[in-house]
Formats: sequence, C-alpha cells, structure tokens
Amino acid sequence: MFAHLIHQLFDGTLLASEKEHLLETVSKNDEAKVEYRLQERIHEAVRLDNNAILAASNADDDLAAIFARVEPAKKKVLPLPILPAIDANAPELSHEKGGQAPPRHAGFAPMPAPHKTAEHKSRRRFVPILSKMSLQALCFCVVGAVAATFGAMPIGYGSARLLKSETVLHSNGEPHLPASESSHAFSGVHSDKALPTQNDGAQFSLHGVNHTSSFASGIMLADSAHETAVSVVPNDGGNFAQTINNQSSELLQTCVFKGKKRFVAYPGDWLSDGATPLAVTTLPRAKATIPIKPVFKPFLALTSRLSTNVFPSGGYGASIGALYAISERDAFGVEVGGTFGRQGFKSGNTESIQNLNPTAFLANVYRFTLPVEGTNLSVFSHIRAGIETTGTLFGGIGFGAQYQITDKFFVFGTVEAARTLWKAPTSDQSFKLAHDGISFGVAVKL
Amino acid sequence: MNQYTSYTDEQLACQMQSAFRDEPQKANELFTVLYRRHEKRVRLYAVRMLSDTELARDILQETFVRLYNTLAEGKAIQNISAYIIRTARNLCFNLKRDTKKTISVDELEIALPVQNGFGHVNHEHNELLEIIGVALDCLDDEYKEAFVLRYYSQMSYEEIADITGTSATNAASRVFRAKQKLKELLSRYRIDIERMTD
Repeated sequence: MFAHLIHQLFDGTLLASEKEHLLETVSKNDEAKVEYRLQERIHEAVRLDNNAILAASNADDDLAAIFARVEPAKKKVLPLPILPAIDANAPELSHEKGGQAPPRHAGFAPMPAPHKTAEHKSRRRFVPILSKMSLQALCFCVVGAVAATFGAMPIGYGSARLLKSETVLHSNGEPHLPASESSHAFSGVHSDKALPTQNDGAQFSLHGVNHTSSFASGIMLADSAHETAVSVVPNDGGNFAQTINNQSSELLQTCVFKGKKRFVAYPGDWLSDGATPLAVTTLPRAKATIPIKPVFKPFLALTSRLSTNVFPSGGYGASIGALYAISERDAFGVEVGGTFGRQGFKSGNTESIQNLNPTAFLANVYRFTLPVEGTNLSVFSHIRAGIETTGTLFGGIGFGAQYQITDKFFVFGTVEAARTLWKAPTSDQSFKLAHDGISFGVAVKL
Repeated sequence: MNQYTSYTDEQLACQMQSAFRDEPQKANELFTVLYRRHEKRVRLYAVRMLSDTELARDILQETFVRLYNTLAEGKAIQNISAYIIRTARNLCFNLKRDTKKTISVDELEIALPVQNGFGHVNHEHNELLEIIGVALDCLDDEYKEAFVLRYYSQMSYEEIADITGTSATNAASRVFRAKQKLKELLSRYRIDIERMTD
C-alpha cells in the first residue's frame, strides 16, 4: 500500500506536504520500511548503472566516427568553379557585326552552354575524381579478396582472422558459419613484427595496431551488408596459434562492426586490463548471438467454448474448463460440458435418436502448443479423453489454433475427432465415433 | 566552442545550417555542442534498450549522422531533443525487431557470471549492474522503455509521452509498473543488493 507513495517520493513527484508524513510512516512501519529500502536500492542501482555506462563509453571516439562518416559526404560539395572572365579589351566579334562566328581560339574564354549551370559544370569536373576513387576502392577490394582467399598476408601485432565452423567464440556450443560464408576483410599498415599464422582460417592485417597507443582500425571492404563481430584476444606470449576456443571468456570482449559503419575502434574499449590486442576474429553476428528463450511463466487459464458435432451425429455443445500451462508449449486441462441436442444413429439402422447422452466430462490430457514466430498466433494439437454421463469412455485428438489478443485473453478454434474406447452397459450408444467436430472458444489467463 | 554552449538547440541548428557552405569548421563545432549536449541521453537509452554497448554505439552514431545529414540538407527540425531521441528509438526498435532477442527469467542466475562490460567498477558493483541490466531485460518493452527514458535519459513524463505517443499519465503508470516488476524480479537478490549498495 505504500509502494505508490514511495515511488512518487523517489520519482520526485510527491507533494511536499505528504513527504514528511510518508517519511514518518516509513520510520515506524516495517512494511513501509522494506518497501522504501527496496526502492531506494533500485534507484541506487540505476544511478550506478548510469555512471558505469558513461564511464565505459568514449564519446570522443564516437564523435570522431560520426565525422568520419559525414565528412566524405561534405567533400562532395565542391566550391563553385571559377569561370574565366571575358576580356573587356577583346576586339568586337565579327559575328556581332553580322559576320561569321570566329574560331574558339580567337581571344574568347569558353562559356558554358546556356542550359548548363555552374553546378552542372562542377559535377562534371567531379566525375573523374569519383571514378579515380572508385577505381582505387575496387583495387583495394580485389587485393583484400585475394588476401582473404589465400590467407597469407603478413600480420602485425594485430590481425583479423576468419573463423572456421569448428572455432566457437561463445561457450554455449552454438556453431558458427564456416569461414567461407563470411567474406570480411581488413586492410592497412602492418607492423614489422610478424606472428605465427594458422592454416585453418584466412588472416588479414589490421592497421595501426601498436603497443603504445593501443589503437587499431579497420575498414570492412567486402560484404558490408553483414554484421560482423570482432573480438580482440590479448597477447599471450606472442602465441597466435591459440584458438579462440581455448581462451577463457574473460579474455574476450566483442566489438561489433556493422558493415562500414564503424571506422575506428580502440582495443582499450574492449580490453579493460589494457592487454595488447593480438588477433581480431570475425564471424557472422547472427550466429554469434546467444539464443535466449522467451520469457514464460506457468499460467492457469479459464476456457469456455462452443462446439458442434458433425460426424456421425449432428448437434451442438458448450463447455467450460481450465487449462494449466506448465511451459510455453505444454499444457493440461479439464473441461465440463458436453453436447446437447445431438442426433445419433444406432448401428444397423437409421433411426434418429434425440438427446443421446447429452453431457460429457472432458479432459485435455495433453496439449502441445507451437507459437508462430513473430505473430500472436499459435497452433496446437491435443490429446483428449472423456467420460459421458452413462459411463462410456472416449478419447481422441484435436488440432487447433489460438490467437492471443492481449496478455490475458486469447481465442481459439479446434477441429477434433474422438472414438468410443469403452461402452458402458447402460449406454445405448453403439457407434464408434463420438464428440468429433469443430469448436471455438475463449480463454482468460488468471 | 564554449561560446556556443549557451545557445539553444534550435539556435545551434539554425547557425549550423547557415555555416555549412562557408564555414564548415564552425558547423562542426556547433554540431559538437549538440552532440555533447544529447550524447549521454541517447547512449544511456540505447545501451539499456539494447543491452549491448557496441550496438548502442552504432545506434548513437547513426542517430547523430542522421541529425547531421538532416541539418546539412537544410531541413527544419522543430524539437531537436525529441528528434534525436525519437530517431534513436526508431533505430533501436528496428534493430530489436530484426534480431528478436529476449531473455528468460529462468536464465537470470545463469546469465550473471558471463556478463562483461564494466571493467572499471569494482566486482560487487559490477554484479549489481548486471543484475539490474538483466532484470530490465525481463520487462516488457513498453515498461522498460518508460523506465529507461525516465531514470536513464532523465526525461519528464510529458517528454516520454510525446516520444512514445501516449499520455503523461500513462507514461507515469508504466514507470511505476516497471518499478514494481523490477522490485518483484530483484526481490530474491534483495540481501545481495543491499550489501552491494551499502
């Protein structure tokens, strides 16, 4: 009962007049004291979390990276071209006097065509520059791709290495894509100190890695549409032959590159102990994500449904029940209700019987639900069993779908079939099939 | 650069737009002021919404690159602060939608020892931060977002309402519910948390 007031107190939205009274209550009431203490701790934890996030961040790096991304765009805006001025002392043109136009070299500066603006001209002048840049980038990519193929570029203090499928970064056993599925490359200046290489993965140089500044940067050249996780392994006596698998998890921290977005990365960001980065490992990010199950809590739901029997008898029914889900997929339930106004047929003749054993007790012995990924829809199958008022036992299966409208409320529909398992002596029911049909219902989670 | 710090966001944006062509250095300085003013708020929001420092850095960069480009194109932005956080929010939601990452309450205890990332704080605080981080991950997005905007990005309920497209009352209600949920999740760590924060 104090939760809201104490929340307002920490939130700064409590009226000043209520504050003293609340604090007095907190000092006297144990329940309020516990509530106050817990909320205080949450706020303290949030404050520490805030500080930790900001302490771990490097705003200058990010700003530099932002400028690195926007600067090239700015460079496209070239200054207006300076057009040659018309010589005021040039002799009057012969065609202006009604004669023929002179040749271009006769003392006149070239003028742009009337429909071409200065901007057009500047763009035209920019094209060769762009082409040159593209050519360089293309060459760069080709060199990178060749290096990736042969995996034999000399490496410095840092190197990027594609993982093979058997090399797992995380300890959860999730396999990674083989190296051939990833085609990222780094490029740059190399250190003069070469390290041993391995044959089971391609290696790429990472430029600018050195001990003093702990600076490393790389540019993704190929396949930039894919995300790549880059991990830095600290120097372990220069033994690069250690695989990522063998490194303990605290030695690895992951920095995520997304395409060409991140131009600059500092190993200091990744390695809190200041160890020198030795290797950079790329792997497809999608596979590197630790699969985590969705949140689920067991729940009890009340169900209610209307049904109709279609074969071999016609009728309608209604039932209410309860469903207990023990996991996201597995549930058990019971229902009370049955079919009313059912018409059945005795074996061997076509005589219609009205209201034949109208009520039944049903149990969803087991229900298996399969959520449809990315939607509120789930499909399920269930095994059913029941007993009629006469004592006849029946069992069957059903298939259905449910749609979750809110957290607490969902609707469902089923198609089901059942078979008489044991016929009570008192029952005049002789056909094998029973309680088969379709039904629609609603359920409310408690 | 200090001369610009007294400018409002809108003044900075306006000056920046006029400086783009002739004074690119000044434009960059003005942008830097904008960045310094809003960077923390966006970073805190992104880190907590995504629970991934590196992804959050990407979001931070992308948000400010978009701001820069929008201003460079000469487009007018009415409320820079809201624009920035709304851009970050959209980017976060797009990323979350694409990656669809959730965490189970059952894994709360398991997840703790393998979390990394805050090497500069002491061990107990580190553990506490991981607890609060994982607990936040267990909240529904709407509650988590309201809580993060309120207590990490330090926004008022009116601002939260404006960004999330709801009413201020509803925003306040979400924050309260988020805290209640957190309390429930953290109750089993109560003794540990008290020890860590003492």
